[in-house]
Amino acid sequence: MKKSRFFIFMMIMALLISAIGSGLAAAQGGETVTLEIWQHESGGKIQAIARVIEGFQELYPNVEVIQSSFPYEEYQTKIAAAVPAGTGPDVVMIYFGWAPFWMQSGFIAPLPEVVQTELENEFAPFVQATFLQGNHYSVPTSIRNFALVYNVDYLAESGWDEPPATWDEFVQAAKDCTQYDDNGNITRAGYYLEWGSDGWNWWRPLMQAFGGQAFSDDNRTTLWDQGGAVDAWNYMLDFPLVHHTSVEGFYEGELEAFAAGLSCMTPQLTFGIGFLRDNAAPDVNWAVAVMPEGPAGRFTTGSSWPMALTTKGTQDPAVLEAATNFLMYMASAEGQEIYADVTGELPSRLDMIEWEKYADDPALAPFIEQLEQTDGAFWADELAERQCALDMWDAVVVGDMDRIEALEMGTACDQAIRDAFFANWEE
Amino acid sequence: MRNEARAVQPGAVFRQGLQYLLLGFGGLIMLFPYLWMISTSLKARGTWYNISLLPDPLSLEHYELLLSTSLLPRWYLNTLIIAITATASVAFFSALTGFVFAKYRFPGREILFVAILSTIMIPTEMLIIPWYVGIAQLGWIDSFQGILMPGMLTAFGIFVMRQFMANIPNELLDAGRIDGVSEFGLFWRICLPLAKPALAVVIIFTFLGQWNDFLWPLIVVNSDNMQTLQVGLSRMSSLETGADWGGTMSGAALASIPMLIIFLFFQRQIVQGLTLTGLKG
Amino acid sequence: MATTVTPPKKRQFFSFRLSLAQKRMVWAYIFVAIPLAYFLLVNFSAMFSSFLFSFEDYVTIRASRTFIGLENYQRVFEMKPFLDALRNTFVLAAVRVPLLTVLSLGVALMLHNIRRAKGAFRMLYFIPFVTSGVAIAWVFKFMFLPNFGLFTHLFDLLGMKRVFFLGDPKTALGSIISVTIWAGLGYYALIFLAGLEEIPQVFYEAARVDGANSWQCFRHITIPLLNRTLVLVILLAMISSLQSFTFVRMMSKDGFGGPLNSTITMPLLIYKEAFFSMQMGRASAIAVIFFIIVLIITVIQRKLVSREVDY
Repeated sequence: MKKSRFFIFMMIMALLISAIGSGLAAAQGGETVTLEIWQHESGGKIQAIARVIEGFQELYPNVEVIQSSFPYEEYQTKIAAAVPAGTGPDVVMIYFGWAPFWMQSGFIAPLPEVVQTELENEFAPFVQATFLQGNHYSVPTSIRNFALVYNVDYLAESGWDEPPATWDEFVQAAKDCTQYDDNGNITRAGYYLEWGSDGWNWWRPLMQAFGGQAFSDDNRTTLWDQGGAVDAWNYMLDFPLVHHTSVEGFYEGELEAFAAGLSCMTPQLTFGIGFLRDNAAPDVNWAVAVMPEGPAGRFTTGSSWPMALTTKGTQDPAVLEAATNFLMYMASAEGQEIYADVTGELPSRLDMIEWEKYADDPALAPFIEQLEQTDGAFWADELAERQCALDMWDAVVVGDMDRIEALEMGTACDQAIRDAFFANWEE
Repeated sequence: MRNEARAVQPGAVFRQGLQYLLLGFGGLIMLFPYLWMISTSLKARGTWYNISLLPDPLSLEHYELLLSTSLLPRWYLNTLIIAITATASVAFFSALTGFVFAKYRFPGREILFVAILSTIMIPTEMLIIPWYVGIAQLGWIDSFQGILMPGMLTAFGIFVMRQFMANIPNELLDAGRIDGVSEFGLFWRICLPLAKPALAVVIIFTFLGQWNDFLWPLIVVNSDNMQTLQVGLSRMSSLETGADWGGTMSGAALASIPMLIIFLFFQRQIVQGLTLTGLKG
Repeated sequence: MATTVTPPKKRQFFSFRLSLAQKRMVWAYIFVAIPLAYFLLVNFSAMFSSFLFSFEDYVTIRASRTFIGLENYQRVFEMKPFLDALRNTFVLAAVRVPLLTVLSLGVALMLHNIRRAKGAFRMLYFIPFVTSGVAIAWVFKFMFLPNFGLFTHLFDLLGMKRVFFLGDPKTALGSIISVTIWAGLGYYALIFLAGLEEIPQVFYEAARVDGANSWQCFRHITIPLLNRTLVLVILLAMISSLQSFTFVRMMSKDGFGGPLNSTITMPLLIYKEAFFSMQMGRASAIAVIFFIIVLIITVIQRKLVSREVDY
């Protein structure tokens, strides 16, 4: 008797749950427009977008927003699963480097006319990174570029009252600042390089500083194994392999190691400033300088996680209108200010850069100084191309491959991705 | 008696001692990661790389943060609802299907049984996109029904129930039929009570499997409110934002300790169940 | 007479008057209708869809799909990650299955022999089985950290050369395999223990009277009588090894079987191709190939099993 009652209870529960579920699903209709926004989950981004949405909803109270966020590792998974099912976001935060591939796949759509016009005015040159085949594809949330973050006390201790001004000085400072224990293991890294997170991104401006470039001007050819790019490759490999200012897996990341007082310097994107303000250990006395200079000059590069409109978002006119309004709000000074304030990054509207709170901030000044160079690289398929670069690094540092052989392997890997992409580009 | 006599021999004592020593050493290896997990979860932010089993200073900050900012209790509830519903469904249908395959002769019996068993070998990865498309058309993304859909019946459950029920004498059923018991009654009132041990195995293993399921919920769940414990736990630290080891360890502790306590109580049933699957394999 | 009897019988047939055996058959079909429909809808139709996808150029974020014949299969065999995954999966199974079998048998024998605190020890070894894989993976990942991890400190303490564990292609797979062994040990030990307890004590007593030592008892009584359990353990360990996903996903350096694909397994590769690279067509082709491989292994194993049971 007891058991059968238990079973009946179980069955009723199962029925109830499905009934509640479908009831909830049915209740979601109604007069308001529902806009689904997806974003990548990192640091203050969720909160920043949540605040932007709040601001947006004050202006458009009839728009209900569903905000979903996923960690970087899962972002692709979610989108890959949602599209064939016809679900997913109307407005999506993307890495700027994904735009060409996603645009070619038809996942994201050209921005509405009004938004495109808005982007033509007053925006940092970076917006060109997602200007593809005559259309803009995304609204930048903020602008990020690289500058050198350094620990003032550590460098002073090591005889450096000023941060290194050239890349040669950077190596010397890193060596001077590194400390080891009795067994020769690093206890404080002069420069801890993590290739997969930051290292491989500032490798490109380093190539330029050494007189090379990552890709040909038409973006079709990978030039990693040519001229200054090879020097830059060797320069970076020397940190763990020759100078021993860095060891693989030293800490959780370049920025985290710096914040914990375990490394002396790190080239960082603007977003690192917000992170350090929230997370740096109390005794870490940090400051920011412009990127060091190489034989061919001083270079940085831009990056961003902009907002794009998906093809799904264009299907229903009411949703499209809501999405357009949201993107316009994101592009407005108000939206940009909210986002920048939460993340500690710089707004992408050039007129706003002159505002006191950005221009007079000593930590942001070096970033602003190099803002002219914030073109982003063109990526055929950033995720796959990044994998090529990651593998070639591992092949040398934890594998046994020869440096040049690995570089050629990586270059060929990247070239193959570009070839496949451009084969369908003209159509 | 003879064993008792042997036990006092020095060789036997030595052998017992050695086995305790080895088991104890192995047990330490089994237990240590848990101690380390709990210890780390009690270490203050920034001190979790200290190599000391005793946290200094002792801090509950990760637990407080986890319980106040994350939806951990909600994840628990979600996982519980999913695991209980799926387990009830699997237990009932496995028993019924197992009963049919064990006690009825009908054309196509063998081939149907083999077909059902063959589903064990299909890699889940192969089914996920079609599943996802299917539940999206039903509007079940990010819902309990969606998470539950692939796990409502398992070939394993049917297999265990059939193997066990095959040993129930047919005479019992025939006697039931003579007494006018309906066919469903034969299952519900005669076979099922006799198959309790096998049912326990199916329930325990299904519950565990559902509780620990990772791949499918990872894909179906979107909103924070719908996360299962495993998915929520896997999202506690990200490669890009760096690891929050204190938070991760306290999450892992909160996720595993209640299960340990529950299974301490069910120890006997588990062992019995394993004996059963062991014999019937 | 015969002519007068036959028509009513026919009428009975057409009006569905069924014999007792036929009635039971109908009930049987009614009972299994829901489960069968479920398997058909959930498993077989999905499998069939996947099979179709494997012949298509199916990039998940693209709206259209085109039939491309065997091109996916052709590409798969040229893919280095595929060969890596195939190799790793086999290495994982080839290392894990024997080690797990031997270790868990050893633990089971000792658990069987000791006289006190049996239950406590048994539970100690069984704990990982009821702990979520994600939680276990986090804990070990933390202990495996290359610079600040517990194991690195242990190595330093013992004066051994530091190892990158999950960061080095030479040690990464081994590190993950050792965790999967740690996690599975208690479960298989319990299965063995159950088998051991089924062996009647009288056999051992008789053997001892004949002067057999412990090894002879083990060799000539325990092993033959434990044969079925042994086969079951190997089978279960094989299946779980071939389908390893959670640990490699959670513990490999980049979550996708790094560094240099040294820890990528078939399930992880399928997941990566389908949901990260968005190449559903290619992923389906890999899944189909993997399914065939698993099928072959299972058939071979079944052949071996039935032979040994005849014995």
